[in-house]
Amino acid sequence: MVASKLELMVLKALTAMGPWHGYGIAQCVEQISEQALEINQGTISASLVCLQQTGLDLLGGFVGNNRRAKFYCITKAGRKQLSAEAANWEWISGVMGRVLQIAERS
Amino acid sequence: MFDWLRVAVAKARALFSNRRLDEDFAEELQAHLASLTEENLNKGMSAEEANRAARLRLGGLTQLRETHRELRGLPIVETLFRDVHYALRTLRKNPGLTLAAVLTLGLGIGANTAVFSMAQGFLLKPLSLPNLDRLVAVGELQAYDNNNTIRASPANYLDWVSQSRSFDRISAFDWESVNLSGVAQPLAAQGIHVSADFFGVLGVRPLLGRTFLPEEDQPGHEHEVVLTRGLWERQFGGDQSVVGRTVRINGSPYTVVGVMDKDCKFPQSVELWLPLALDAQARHDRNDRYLQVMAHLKPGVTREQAQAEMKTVAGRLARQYPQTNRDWSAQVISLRDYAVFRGSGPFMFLLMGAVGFVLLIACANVANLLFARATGRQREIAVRAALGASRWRVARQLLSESVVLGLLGAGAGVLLAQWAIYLILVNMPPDLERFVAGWDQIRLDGTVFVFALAVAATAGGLAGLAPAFQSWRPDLNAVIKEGARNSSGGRSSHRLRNAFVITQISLALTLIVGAGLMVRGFRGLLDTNRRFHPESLLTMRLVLPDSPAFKDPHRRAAFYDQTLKELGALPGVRSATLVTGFPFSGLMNSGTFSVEGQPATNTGAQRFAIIKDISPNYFGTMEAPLLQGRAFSDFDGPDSAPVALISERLAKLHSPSRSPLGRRIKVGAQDSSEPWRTIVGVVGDIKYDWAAASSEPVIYRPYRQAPQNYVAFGLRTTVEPGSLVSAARSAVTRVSRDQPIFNVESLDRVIRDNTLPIAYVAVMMAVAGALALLLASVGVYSVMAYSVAERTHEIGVRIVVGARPTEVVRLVVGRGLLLTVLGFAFGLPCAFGLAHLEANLLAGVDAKDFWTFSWVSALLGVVSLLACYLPARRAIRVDPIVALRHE
Repeated sequence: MVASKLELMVLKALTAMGPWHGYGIAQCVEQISEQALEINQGTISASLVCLQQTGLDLLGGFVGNNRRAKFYCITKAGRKQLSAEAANWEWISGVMGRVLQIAERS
Repeated sequence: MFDWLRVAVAKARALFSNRRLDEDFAEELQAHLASLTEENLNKGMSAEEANRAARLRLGGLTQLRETHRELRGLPIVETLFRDVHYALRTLRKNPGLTLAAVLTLGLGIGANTAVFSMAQGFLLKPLSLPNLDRLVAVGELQAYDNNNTIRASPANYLDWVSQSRSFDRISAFDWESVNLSGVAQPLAAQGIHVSADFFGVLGVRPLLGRTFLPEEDQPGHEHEVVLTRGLWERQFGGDQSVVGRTVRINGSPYTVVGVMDKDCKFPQSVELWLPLALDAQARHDRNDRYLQVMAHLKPGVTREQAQAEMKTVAGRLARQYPQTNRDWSAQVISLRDYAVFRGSGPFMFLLMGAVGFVLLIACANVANLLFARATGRQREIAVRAALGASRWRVARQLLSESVVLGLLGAGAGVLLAQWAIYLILVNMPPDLERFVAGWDQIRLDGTVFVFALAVAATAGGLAGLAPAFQSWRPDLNAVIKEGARNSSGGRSSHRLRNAFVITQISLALTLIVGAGLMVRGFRGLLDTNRRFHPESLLTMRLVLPDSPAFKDPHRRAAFYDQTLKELGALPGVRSATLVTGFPFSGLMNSGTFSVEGQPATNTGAQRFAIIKDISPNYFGTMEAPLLQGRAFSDFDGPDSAPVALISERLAKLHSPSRSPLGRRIKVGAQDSSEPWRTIVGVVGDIKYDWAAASSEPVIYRPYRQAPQNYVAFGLRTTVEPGSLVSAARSAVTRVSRDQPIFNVESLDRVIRDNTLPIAYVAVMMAVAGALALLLASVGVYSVMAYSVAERTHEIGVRIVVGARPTEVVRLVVGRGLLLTVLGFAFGLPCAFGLAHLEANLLAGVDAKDFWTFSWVSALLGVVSLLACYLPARRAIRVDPIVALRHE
């Protein structure tokens, strides 16, 4: 299964921050990308629910200010997938970078 | 590694927990929204503003929900559910169309299902044995023999048992008609002598008692008998205490040791099993090939491997015993093929083809219906497309409608098939079931249901293909702008409908010609017998026991003399005759023969003929003309010179240029112990085997010179034959007490029973033909009616500007006629092909039967003209004003 780019970011954010809730993850993804990505935060929620079927396990619980929100944490399968796909991305971006840097003939 | 599996499971689960997942997602979104709003409030916005900004940030809620649903579940399955649901709703809204389509498909599917269940019974599982797939029949085969009698001589069989490695169980059996007495009324029963392991090979257990013990097939120990359930119920009233009882078989006492259940009916017509006790002499007999051998393959051994091994074994035996085994090889065939009733394969395929045609015609009709409706729905479809439905989506929806129709049709079809099977079975004489394997296996079971479903889905798909195809490229602008006015679907749809009509006409033509030829062929088959008036000939069979009293041929001949005299003297009997088997009675007794001075060549040109032993008055009774020489007389006795008569066919085959009179032939090989017989005459052909394509060569011998232990008597009666049955029985009893006769029936009845399978085929072909005619004429009519309705406006205009009614009629009928002619152009070659196929199957069918071809063409032509004329007449009766307003 190939995760979408967004799902990959979500997975990465989760590994970096530990168990967290949807809102927080969305914030985090936006911050890490330094506002370069203008994401509908709802889509992150949607992909979280989907990832849950495969890569994520539910934690559940309450955030401090008494609003009910689900906490997510990454599972072993999720980690495995993340590292596999991350390697893939790095490889692609490496190749693309090199290809695009070929000097044009003047 | 199992990620995809996990995803699949999760997605499948999602299908069934939509609501819970929706709630979960809504909750998640709510939490998210609340967090965002809080953040905005913290930034100092007003409550309203904060909420609005948060919503913007989150994105459109509905779209989010949609995306989420597609991601989490299986959108294909979900849309399928939705399609089916929608299809059911639309079909409910059009009850008339739905009913018509379901009935049409039901007819087609029902016919196919019924025929398939028959084919399954006859061809796939003629025997209900648990390990049928592993059972084989083994037999000896002459290198140049094309006559597949799967038999073996006892000594060779015993060598096979000790030398072959492919089988874990092997058994031999042999037929004997026995006289069973010691019961209420003595009767002739079909007995099978079997070696002790017979039931072990079959893998069946007895219903009562036991089967044979290993030592019971030794000479002197063979006085046990196992009964079939049928015989047990008929003769012993299903008495549980029958085990241990003593009955007399051919005069000797036998103990009943067991009763087998209904399922165990092998060989097909068996009534009781006796041990096969091979004495010392038989154990060394390699020449007399009369045993039938079957075996159970060892696990892992294929039939081909067993065949290869048996070839090696037979080759070794041939080198070891060149005297008897030279040129003899061995063959291994599956027991299923062995048990399948002779000739039923091609006939079943013929019927399958016929009902397949009916189904295609039905599909074309339903396609037409759906097509007409899809045309009416073009706007709806265009609107859907405009709203963003993909082509696939629309096509899939239309297809799922027709597949749902197909499945409903399958329901109707299965009911119809059930009824058809009931009709088929209820009209079957019980005797036939004894001879044709698989009758009792005809039923609707799981396989048949799966078949019906597959046929239904295919048929539905086929029928829906055309409308779906049409929806593939809708011209949105045109359809939506112009509305219903030009919703006729354009030229391509006309072409498609015309193609349907042409196909239907050609399929129907083929099928009806096939049915007509079959019915005529069958009647012709019966008519060949009219010559000898089978309805006034009472026939009966008799088998002399293998007892000392009848060991001597002279004693047998004397018994027959006496019996003929007694029978001939009965009041109401004009003459009594004797033959070893009447025409079409299933008793063929064919064999090889040799011509003096012409050694048989080993090139496959085997001399093969039916051998009949007759009384002198046989030809008079059968009204067969004497063409050359003389007939037999009472002087052709055991002590006079051996003589023979041959049939015209044999004379033509083996001495076409010279008269055969005076030449000498013998039954069997050149060096066999049979005497050379002088040919004293040639008689006209009598057909003995209805399944044979042409008249068979026959050799007749006078019965006094070759008295067999089985004969049939025929009484030419001046009264109703049935009234003489008991008189005939007592006449035979007067000659020899305890000697039963059986199959006491008029020859007419015998012929009818024996040709019943072919009668079934003919009737079913006729039914298929009638269905084809009905469906095709409905199809032509509906297409013509639809096209007239479509052109009502145009016709109105024509009438207004002065066209005469006849011209309008010519316009409409002309088009129908063109389609019919095209249908004939395609159909006639197909019909010729089918006719040739049938001519090869059945002797009576004439592939160039001009009469059948012309009446079928005429019938179909008239029907399709009528189907064109009726709508045309309606068209000209329409008031032009109404027609012009007709949009």
